[in-house]
Amino acid sequence: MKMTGNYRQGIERFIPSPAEAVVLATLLFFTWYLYGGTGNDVFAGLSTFIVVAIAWVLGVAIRVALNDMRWWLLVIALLLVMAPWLALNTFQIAVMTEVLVFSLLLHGLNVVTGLTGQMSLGHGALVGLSAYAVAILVDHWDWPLLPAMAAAVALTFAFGFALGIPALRLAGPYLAIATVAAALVFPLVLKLDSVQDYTGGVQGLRLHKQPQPPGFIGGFLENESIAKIPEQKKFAPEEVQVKERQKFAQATYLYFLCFGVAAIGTFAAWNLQRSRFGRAFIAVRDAEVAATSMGVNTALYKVTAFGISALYAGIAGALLYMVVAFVAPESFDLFNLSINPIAYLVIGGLAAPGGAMVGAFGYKWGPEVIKKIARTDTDFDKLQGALTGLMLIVVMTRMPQGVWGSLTRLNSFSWKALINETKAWVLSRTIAYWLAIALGVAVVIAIGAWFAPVWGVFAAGLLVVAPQDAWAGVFLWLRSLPAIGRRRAPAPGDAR
Amino acid sequence: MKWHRKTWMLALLAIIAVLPVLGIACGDDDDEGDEGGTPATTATTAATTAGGSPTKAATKSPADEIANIKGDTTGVTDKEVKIGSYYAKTGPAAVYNDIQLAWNMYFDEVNKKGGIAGRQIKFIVEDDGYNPSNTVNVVKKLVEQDQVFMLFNALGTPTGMAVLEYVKAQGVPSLFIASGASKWANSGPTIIGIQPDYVTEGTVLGKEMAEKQKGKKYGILYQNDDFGKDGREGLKKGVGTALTLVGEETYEANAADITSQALKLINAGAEVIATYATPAQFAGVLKSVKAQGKTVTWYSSSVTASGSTAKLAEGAMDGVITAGYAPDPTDPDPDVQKVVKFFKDHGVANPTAFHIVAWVFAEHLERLLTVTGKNLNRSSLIYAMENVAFQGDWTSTLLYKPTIITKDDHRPIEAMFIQKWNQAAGKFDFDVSKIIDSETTKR
Repeated sequence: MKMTGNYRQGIERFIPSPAEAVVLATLLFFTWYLYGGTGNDVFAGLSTFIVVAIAWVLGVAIRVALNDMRWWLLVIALLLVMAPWLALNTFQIAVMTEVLVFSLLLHGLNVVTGLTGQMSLGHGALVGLSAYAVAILVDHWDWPLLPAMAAAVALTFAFGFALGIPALRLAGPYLAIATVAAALVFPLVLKLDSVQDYTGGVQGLRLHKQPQPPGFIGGFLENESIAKIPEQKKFAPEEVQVKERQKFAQATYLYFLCFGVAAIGTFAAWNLQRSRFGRAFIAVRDAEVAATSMGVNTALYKVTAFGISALYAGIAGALLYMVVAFVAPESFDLFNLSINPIAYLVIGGLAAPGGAMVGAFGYKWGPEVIKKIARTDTDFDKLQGALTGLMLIVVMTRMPQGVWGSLTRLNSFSWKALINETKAWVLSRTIAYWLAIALGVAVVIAIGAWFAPVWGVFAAGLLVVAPQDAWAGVFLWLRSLPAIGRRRAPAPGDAR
Repeated sequence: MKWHRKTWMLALLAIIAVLPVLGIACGDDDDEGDEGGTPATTATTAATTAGGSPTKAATKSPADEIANIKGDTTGVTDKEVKIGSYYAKTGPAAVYNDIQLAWNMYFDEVNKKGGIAGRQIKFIVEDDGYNPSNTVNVVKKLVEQDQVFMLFNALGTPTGMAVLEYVKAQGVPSLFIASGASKWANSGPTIIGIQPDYVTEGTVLGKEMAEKQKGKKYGILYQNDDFGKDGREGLKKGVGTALTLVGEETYEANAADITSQALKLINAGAEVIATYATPAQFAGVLKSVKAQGKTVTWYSSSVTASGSTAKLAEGAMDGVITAGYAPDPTDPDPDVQKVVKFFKDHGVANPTAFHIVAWVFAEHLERLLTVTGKNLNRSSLIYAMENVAFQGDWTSTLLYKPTIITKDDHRPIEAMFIQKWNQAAGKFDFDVSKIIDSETTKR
């Protein structure tokens, strides 16, 4: 981390510097001038406001980026703001919206798993609880959406504390199993006869009206959507095009609602890590006894970690219902929402807000990409398991801090070091070891090419030789071949 | 210090407890002001676009009118029409996948002959694993990313229910849904099922039970969703008081085994069990109940009426009575055998009842697209369906009665019969003369 002259702390980051003030004032003038000519004052005011707001956010981002030398933060922020216009269609906007929603869940998991070191596999139940609470309040008691979401988040927050109580007595795998109970039972409870009137049973509950963009924002977005109308519909009757514009406005509005919440959530997660709480969490994770002797109330902090985590999960659940407009018990099963998010959090990077964002991205887009690779839907099922397992293995062995951790270390990246490290790693194993691996890979490719000539690549081998996650086992086995593997005892400088 | 923290926590919990109350208060003031907006606009646009009723109907015949209707041509070009569907290719309901594969074969053949009205029919069939949460996702993809013209023969009741509102709001016609939920018949012009609805079917089955099993004890075993519940409603209506109900058991759509539920009913004294279950589970329960040496008379929904269910049941399906609306592939009727030969020529070793119904569904779509003709858009399609294509004189080559669809009657196939599986002959026994046409006995 490089300190520069204009290094600022805390709230100061958000105050424009004199130079930025000049830029903002210029932008203000020009946008007002450009849009003022339309004669629509509300529209002109709004556009000006939006442009200036974006400039201001960018100013802050630039400063943070300069201070931390993480220039890609800027790029990511820009891409996220522009996502609705970069997306090819409204479906992709919806997927991006879900990425933002799931980033909140992953932030929450991060607090419990990454910072405090407690294993929770019950977060699917928390997300579901919140989503269902909103759904029932809206559907059954006709609450407006916003208060219902607030109430659901509060409920989940409270429930999270309760979920944290086992954490006081249990540790490691025992805690994981205790929390798994919540995730396993939750979908079943929803389908009980006695609550079906409220939860809708297997049929789930639908949100009948998603929030619509308020008039002037809607108008603005509809105007900006002209390029978004699919080629097919450009010659369709006027009302079809109007509908298409409304669709874009609606999707983009939802996106930015979630964008706002996710931005605040990410900032809060980032701050939390540097706060007294965050340090206490890390102390509990790294050395519980030492933390206790330093005066950290471990019980309180463990429960609080679960509470904060549940708060995030609750917000994610409420937003998820708003975005998808549908909940069913199957959405909240163990794999979908409890285990997969943790897997992707690990891939993204534990104990870093950026890791949660990357993880959420992988969680939503991973399956979409794999679907493109797989030829049939049965292939997709297998391939998804195999590739997720493979990714986990690669990340755990080659980048222990996840994708994000590796990215942040790019600052001190040098090709020379990489070459040296790789060389040392290759040389630390015998020729027999590499021959064995080469032979294995050759066999896999050969079999893959034989059975599926179209692929003819590694992926086919994965499918044929090792259905599902068995491939991960093969890798583990290869890694545990010290007898033919290592030539000498590992030195501290060796790559893992 | 400790005490202070506790009070702090208590205060926090108190705030949490109060928040929902505040929420209610806010809710009352709010009056749905900010989320209200214009929720109905999209829906009404959809309805008006799709309805597209002609104004000059008096001077022109409905068939000529089709050429003048303007509407949404998403997914249609002069060369091609893109049609979406979702099916369970994986998971417990994957047996149905045969249907989708079969109508794909049918339209491959149609495409080879030049397509319909010069257009090739291109299907995009997504896998939702019979899981409503997945369905929401795949349908969004079909509509917004793939830009399909319409949905055809999408599979499943709970899955269809999950996306019904969305599909309606988007104005995408979802036609000939492979599900017999009674809901499709009154979900607006753009939605229509294909097979007889489960309430009607259940009533037919129930009446048969009341006639043949009078005075016995019976139990109902059904899938815990609209499919099962519709069936149960019909069964009870049909049976009336002729049999004594000893119990009702449910199971979840993704359950692997439902034997314990059936044994519960048998232990309660049931001599007859009526089931609304999907083929895999039904076959499983038949097998294990037989293995336990219990004898019971089974009545089952038409969804299990197929040789492939019998194959899954490994001989335990003998004597099972089901309702049916399409012939079995073992039927010697020349039309049926022609279809069987068609599928055999396309590499299906043993065409089942699923292939037969797939043929029937495909014929319906072909008829509709042919009648709609050159001017194909969402409004003209619905207009053709309600006013021209199915007006009483067109019958699928494999069915016994004509299909009738009008503006007020969105229930295409309504004629049914009772059949009994004969394991020795490997086919269903039934009497064609005893077809019950619900068309005449409208509810």
